[in-house]
Amino acid sequence: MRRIMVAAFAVIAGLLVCLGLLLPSPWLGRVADLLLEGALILAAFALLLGLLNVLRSHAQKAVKGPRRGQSIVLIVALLLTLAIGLLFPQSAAQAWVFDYVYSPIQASLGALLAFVALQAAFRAFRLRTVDAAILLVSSLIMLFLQIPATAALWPRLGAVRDWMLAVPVAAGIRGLLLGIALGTMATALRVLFAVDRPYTGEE
Amino acid sequence: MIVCPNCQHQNHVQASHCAQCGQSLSDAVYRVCPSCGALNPIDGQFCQRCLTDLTAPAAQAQPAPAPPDMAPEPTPIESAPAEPAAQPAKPNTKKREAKRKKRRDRKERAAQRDIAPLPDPAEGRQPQSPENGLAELGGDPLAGVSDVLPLETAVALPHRGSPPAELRSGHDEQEDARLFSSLASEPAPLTAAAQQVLPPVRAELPRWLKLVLALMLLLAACIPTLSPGWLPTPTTPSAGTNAMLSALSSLGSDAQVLVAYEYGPDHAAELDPVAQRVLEQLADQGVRIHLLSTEPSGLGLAERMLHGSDSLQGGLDRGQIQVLGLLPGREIGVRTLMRSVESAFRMQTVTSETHAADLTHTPTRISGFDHVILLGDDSRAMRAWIEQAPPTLHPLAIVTAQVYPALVPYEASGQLVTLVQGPTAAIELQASTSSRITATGATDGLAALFLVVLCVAILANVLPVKPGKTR
Repeated sequence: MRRIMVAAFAVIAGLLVCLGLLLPSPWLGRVADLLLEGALILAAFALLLGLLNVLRSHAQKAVKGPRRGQSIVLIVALLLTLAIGLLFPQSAAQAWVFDYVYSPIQASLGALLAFVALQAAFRAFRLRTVDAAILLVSSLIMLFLQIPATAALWPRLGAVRDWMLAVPVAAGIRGLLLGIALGTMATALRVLFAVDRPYTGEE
Repeated sequence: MIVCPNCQHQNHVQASHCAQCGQSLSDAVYRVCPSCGALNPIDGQFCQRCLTDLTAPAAQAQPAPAPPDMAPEPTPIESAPAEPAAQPAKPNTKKREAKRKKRRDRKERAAQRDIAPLPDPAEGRQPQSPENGLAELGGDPLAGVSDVLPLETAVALPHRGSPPAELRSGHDEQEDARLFSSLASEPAPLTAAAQQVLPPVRAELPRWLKLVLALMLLLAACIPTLSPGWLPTPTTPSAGTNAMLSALSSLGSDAQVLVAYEYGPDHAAELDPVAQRVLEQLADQGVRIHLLSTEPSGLGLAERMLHGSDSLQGGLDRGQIQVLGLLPGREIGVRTLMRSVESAFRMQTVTSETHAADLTHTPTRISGFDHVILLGDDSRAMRAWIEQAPPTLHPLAIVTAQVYPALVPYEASGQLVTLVQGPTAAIELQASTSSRITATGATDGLAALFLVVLCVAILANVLPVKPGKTR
């Protein structure tokens, strides 16, 4: 009974939002807005739940786990940042944490991707198949055309770059976007018809 | 029986040539036990499984039950011929026989020297010869009883015999047993389905090659600061950058602009220069700017930029720039914002220690904004903004080089006013202003990066380096 009620509520809510977006009815629009605001509040609480889940998981690992030290560091850093954000919102201390801890760490992780990408390029650029040859040639052409100096030296190369982005690249991206849209519609229909019930936590 | 090495035909124990194919049996490897069918070495005298005398004729090893009056003479196992004289006559030469005997003796001596003798399975058991058995029983208990199975026949069964000393396992037999044990304990070969479950084999580059690649990349990263400006830079901005600048410069002092920070610190170097330049231009024009983000890190970057620029700090102090805050839920949040700004930000006033932004000066509807500027490094977040926007709203997007191709169709369809690639736009804007040296350094850095990739492509096909496989 509980499953049926949950599924019925999810299906009705989804249909109301869908109809509110499609039909020019003020009443349906207000209902859809109300449901979307509820989803927004739920999303905000989901952040809090995620935080609590991370805290609980690493608390268990800190008590008994193979990598206790890392979990302890994570919990201390989390609680410290949370305390600074709650006690001193938008203060210099909070800005210091963001500027000198969070931002450098994330920037460093992003910079490390360059080394990984270069090693991956070494493997991918080995001319063993036709696909690898196409990948190599197209990558080199696009990288060469991305250099601003090429457009300064030969203005026609800028036009070539624009054409490549507007025609072949856009064609491939359009195909991807169409695939994403079709997949999204199929998933939405499965949820609306209660074939998939992700809200119940069932597989 | 002797197994023919050519056709595997089982020949008589005394056969010298195969009855089926005529092959000489002098090189035969196995001898079949007539009792249990086990395969034994050709030079073995007794079966290793049931101790049957392999040199005796089959009829003698497995005597058929016979009536008492026709019972054969009892043949005790102990009296079985153990000497080579009992071996079947073979057409071998004496020299070969002597050599084989010498080899067998050498193996036995080595086995006795190196390997402890196995415990005798018949240890503690009395010999089962008929005479001894009857003697222990104090005479024949069946004397006078007629029509019984002759005791000699039962005693003469092959498995009742005591093993001779020759049945101690030798070196070769132990090697065979070890090999069989390893084969039996070896895990079964994986099926195709099980092999698919295994993690994929990852090609690993040699360590020296990784070092070379890292050094090349570091050298390219240092080029912008070391370069004196080898390559020229475009003197005029591209069409996209020009369109963006003209759209922004047309805004009056009473205009309202919404700016969404949808990028993180990992792409701040790409987008910060353009974003700062755009915000400074808007602040100089007196445009009211409203900042928000769907990611907490985006808000942090916005705050850092506002406090890092004098003109932006002045606009913040004057209330010209307002930070609306975090918009959770991505697509849902953007959808709610498109319906009503008040609904998305329930609080009427966002207070902080540094400034107090009053939403009374913020448009309640998204249509109240003259422009929406998207700064992003995530194609999904950018698509959420573009697809949830009403048809009358045409955002202006400044994105990273990675996201740029994914948004080209939206620009072509007119859903975006203009689409600008952050690094290129930054160089063009820098080149058009006084910071020309910075622009040339960035251009040289991009060219150096291209050269690094070109070198990698050449090395990958020239160097005889094959990535090692690790799981």
